[in-house]
Amino acid sequence: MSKLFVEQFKDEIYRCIRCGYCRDFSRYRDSAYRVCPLRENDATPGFEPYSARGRLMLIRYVLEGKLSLNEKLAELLYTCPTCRNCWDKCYVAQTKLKGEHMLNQVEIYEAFRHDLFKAGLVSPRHKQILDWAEREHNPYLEKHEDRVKWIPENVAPPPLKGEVVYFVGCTASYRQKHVAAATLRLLRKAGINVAVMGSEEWCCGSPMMRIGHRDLAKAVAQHNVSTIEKMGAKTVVFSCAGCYRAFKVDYPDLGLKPTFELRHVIDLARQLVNEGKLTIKGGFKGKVTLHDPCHTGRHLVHLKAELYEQPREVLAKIPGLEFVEMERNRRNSWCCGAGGGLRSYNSDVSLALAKNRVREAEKTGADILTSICPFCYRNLSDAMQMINSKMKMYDLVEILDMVTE
Amino acid sequence: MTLTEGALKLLEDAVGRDKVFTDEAVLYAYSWDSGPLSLLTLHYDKPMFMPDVVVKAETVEDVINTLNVANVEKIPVTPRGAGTSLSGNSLSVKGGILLDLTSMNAVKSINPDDRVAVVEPGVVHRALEERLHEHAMFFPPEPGSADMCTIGGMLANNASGVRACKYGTTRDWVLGLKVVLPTGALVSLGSRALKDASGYNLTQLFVGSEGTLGVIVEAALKILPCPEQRTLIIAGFRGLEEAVKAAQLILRRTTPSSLELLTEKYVETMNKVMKHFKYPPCKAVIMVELDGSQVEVEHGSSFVAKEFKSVGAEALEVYWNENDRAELWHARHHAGFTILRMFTSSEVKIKAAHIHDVCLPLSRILEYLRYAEEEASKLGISLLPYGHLGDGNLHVNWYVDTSSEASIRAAIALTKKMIEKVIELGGTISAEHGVGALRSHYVSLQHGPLLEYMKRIKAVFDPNNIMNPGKLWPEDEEDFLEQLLKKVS
Repeated sequence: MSKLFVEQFKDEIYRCIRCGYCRDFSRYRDSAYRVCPLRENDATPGFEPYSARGRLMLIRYVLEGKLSLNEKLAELLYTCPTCRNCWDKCYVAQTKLKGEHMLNQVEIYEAFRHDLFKAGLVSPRHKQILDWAEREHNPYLEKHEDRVKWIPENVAPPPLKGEVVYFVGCTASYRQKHVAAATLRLLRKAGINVAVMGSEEWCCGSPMMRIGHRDLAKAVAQHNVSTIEKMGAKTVVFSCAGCYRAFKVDYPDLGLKPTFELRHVIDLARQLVNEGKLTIKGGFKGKVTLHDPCHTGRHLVHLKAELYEQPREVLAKIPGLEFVEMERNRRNSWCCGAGGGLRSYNSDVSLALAKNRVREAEKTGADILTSICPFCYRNLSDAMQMINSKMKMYDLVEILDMVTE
Repeated sequence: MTLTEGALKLLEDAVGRDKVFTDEAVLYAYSWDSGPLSLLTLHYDKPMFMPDVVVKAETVEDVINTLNVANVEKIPVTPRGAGTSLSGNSLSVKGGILLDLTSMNAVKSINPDDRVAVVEPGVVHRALEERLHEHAMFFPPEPGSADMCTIGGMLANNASGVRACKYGTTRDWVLGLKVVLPTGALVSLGSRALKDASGYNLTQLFVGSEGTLGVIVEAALKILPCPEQRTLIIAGFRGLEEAVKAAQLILRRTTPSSLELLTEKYVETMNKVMKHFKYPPCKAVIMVELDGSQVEVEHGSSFVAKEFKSVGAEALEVYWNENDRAELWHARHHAGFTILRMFTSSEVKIKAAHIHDVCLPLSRILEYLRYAEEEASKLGISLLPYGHLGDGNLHVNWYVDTSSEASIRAAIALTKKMIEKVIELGGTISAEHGVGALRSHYVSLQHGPLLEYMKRIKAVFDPNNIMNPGKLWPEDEEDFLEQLLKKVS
C-alpha cells in the first residue's frame, strides 16, 4: 500500500486517549451538552465507530496495517457532518502544544476521506456529484449556464468587475436563490456596487474537500482565486458559511494565498449598519431564534475568526424583533446535519440531525428560525416540512433586507 | 473463538439481523477500551481483543434472546457500556459476542419521595445527573468518566470516584437490580426498600461482578437531595508526609465529600493548561470539598483551613464560587490526560499508562508510597502518584515503553512488588477500576484459596462460563505484559 495521506496525522491520532468525551457529554467549559449529533435521538445506530474516538482508532488500525480500506470503513467515515463539536469538546484537542492544538479530528477524517476517495471507495452518489462538478462546476447536477439565473429579472445585472465581489456559491445560485437576491439588494442599499463572477464563478470546492477529492478542490480554488484577482477585487463577500470557510481554511490548506479580504455578508452588514450606511427602518414583528452554522463557528475558532456575536448584534438592532437563544448556541451550536458531505451521502441521517435542531428551535417558542448559511437553511427548512413545524425559516440576510432601506 | 455460520444464523434469528454486526470495521471498533491493554495491540498483527460479532441490544428481550443462543452454543458474551473501562473489563478476551447496551438508555422513573431512580444500564451518568437535578436530587458516586460512562458499567465495576470519601461506592447506592442470567432467565434482585435483611445479598454480589454472572438490564438506585452548599479548599504542602498528616487531621473530625491528592508532576502540567487559576506549585497538593448546609460548610472550611495551616500548608485557597470550583475540578478530572503533554511525537505512540488502583488504610499510605518510590527508583521508573486520598485509593501510575524489553520487564517486576506490598499492608489491588483482564493474574495473590469460592459462585449462575470469561481471573491466557514481553523480545 502506498503511503496514505492521513499518515501526516499519525502523531495526533496516537494522542487520542479514547476517553469518550466525544460521545455524549462534556464538562469542557462546564457545559453539559451532548457532543456528537449522530448519537442524539438514535440518528445512527450509535456505534463506537460513529464516535470520534472510534474513527480515530479505525484509522490507527489502518495505519498500522491491521485493517484495510473497505466499503464499511468508508461508510463509517462518511457518516459524519464534520461539525467539529468532537474537536471542540475534546480535552486533548483543546490542549495546545507549542501553540498548536494537539489533535484535529476533522482534519484527520478529511485526510482519510482523501485516501478512501483515491482507493475508489467513494459512494455512487458522491462520485456522481464529483463528476458533475468537474464538468459543470456545481454539485447540484445543474447546468453551469444556469448559474446566474438567481439574478432577479427586475434588477440591473451586477457588474463583472469591481472592488467588492459577491461570491454567491452553488446553493444560493441554484436552490436558495432568495438568499442571493437578498444579499445583492442589501449590498446595493448600502451603496456598494457589488460585482459577481457570473459564469466564471465555480463551486467553491467545499464539497470536493469534504468528500476527499483534493485535486479537484484545488483546481476550482485556483480558478476562483485567479478569476477574482483578475476582477480587481479587494473584498469578497459571502452569504454561504461553507464557501466562506472554504476560502478561509481550505484554500490556504491547498496552498493558495488569496490577496483579497474575505467577509461574510452578515459581518459586513453589521459594519455598514454601525457606520450608518445601512438604515434599519424596523417594522419587523416576530420571535426569532438563531442557528450558528458550524462553518462560521467551530470551524473558524482556531483562527479566532468565528462569527458568533456579529449576527446577534445585527438582530439586536432590529426594532420589534424579539430574539431568543436556543439552549445550544455559539460553540455548543448543534449541527444542522447538512455539511461534511452528509446530506448527499445519507440524507436520512442528515435530515434526522436537522429535525433534532428544528425541535430544539421550537422549544424556544420562537416562530422564526434564522441562520447565516443557505445550506443550513436548506436542510433545516426541509426538516421543518417533514415534521410539519409551524416555524418559518429566513436567512438573516433576508430579514435584514426586509427591515433596511 | 470463531463463530460458526449456524450460531450466527441463530443469533440473527433470535434478535434480528439489524441488531447483529459482523463487519470487520465494526468489530475493530470494539477491540479497545480507555485503558492501556488495547494499546499493546500496536505490537500485534491484529487487535488482541476482537469480538466475533457485535449485538446491539435495544430491549430486555434482546438480551434474553442473545444469552439464550450464547448459552446453548457456548459462545462467550462480553457486556459493554461506554467502553470507558481502564482494566480491559469490557474487552472480548475470548472473542464471541460483544453485547453493546448503550441503546438501553432510559431513565425509567425518578421518585424523590422514595429517593429512588430506576434506570436502564446504558444511561450515561451525566444524563442521569441532569434529570436528577430537575428534582434537586443527585446520585452520589461520580467517577472521573461521569460524562461518558454508563450506569451499567459503574454497576458492573463498582465504580466510585472523587466522592467516595463521604458517600462510598456504587454498591452502596443500589437497592435492586433486574438481571438476565446466562440461562436467559430474567430475575429481580433486592427490592425498593431502603433496608433489607431478608437473606443473602445477591444484589450487591452482582455489583462489581464485571459482567461475569449475568447482564444487568435495570437498576433501582438510591438518590439524595442536592446539598445546600459546597466549597473547595486547595492547599500545597512541602511533601507527602505533610499532606497525609493534614488528611488524617481532617478525617478525625469531619467527613469531606472529597479529599484528593495531587503530586508535583500533575500540578506542573495541569497549571500549563489552567486558564484562570493555578494549583499551588508544591510537592503535594490536597483538594478538599465539603458539602452540606451553609452553616456546616462554613464551619467545616474554617476547621480544614486551620488544620492545613497547623501542618505548614504553603498555599491555601478557598473557592466558594461554583464556576471556579468547576474549572478546578475539570482540571483534576483530566490530570491523567494532561500528562500526555510530556511526550514527544515518537513517544506518544509507544507509551502506555500503567494504571494502579490500590486502596489502603490511610495510616499505611505513606509506608506504601515510600516503598513504591524506592522499588521504582531501583528499576529506573518515575512514578506519578495521585488519587482519592480521603478513602485511601491511590493511582500510582507510570508509563511503560511498550517497545522496550527493559521497560516491560521493569513494569512486570514493579507491579508484582507493589501488589504484594499493598496486600501485606491490608489493602486491595483494585478500589474502583475493577480487576478486568489487566489485573486478572494478580487477584489470586489477594484472595488466595477464596478465589475458588468465587469461581464456584460463578458456576452456579453461569454453568457454561459464557459470561465475560478472562475477567476477574485468567482462563488460560498469560498475563498480558508477559505476552508483550515475549513479543518484543
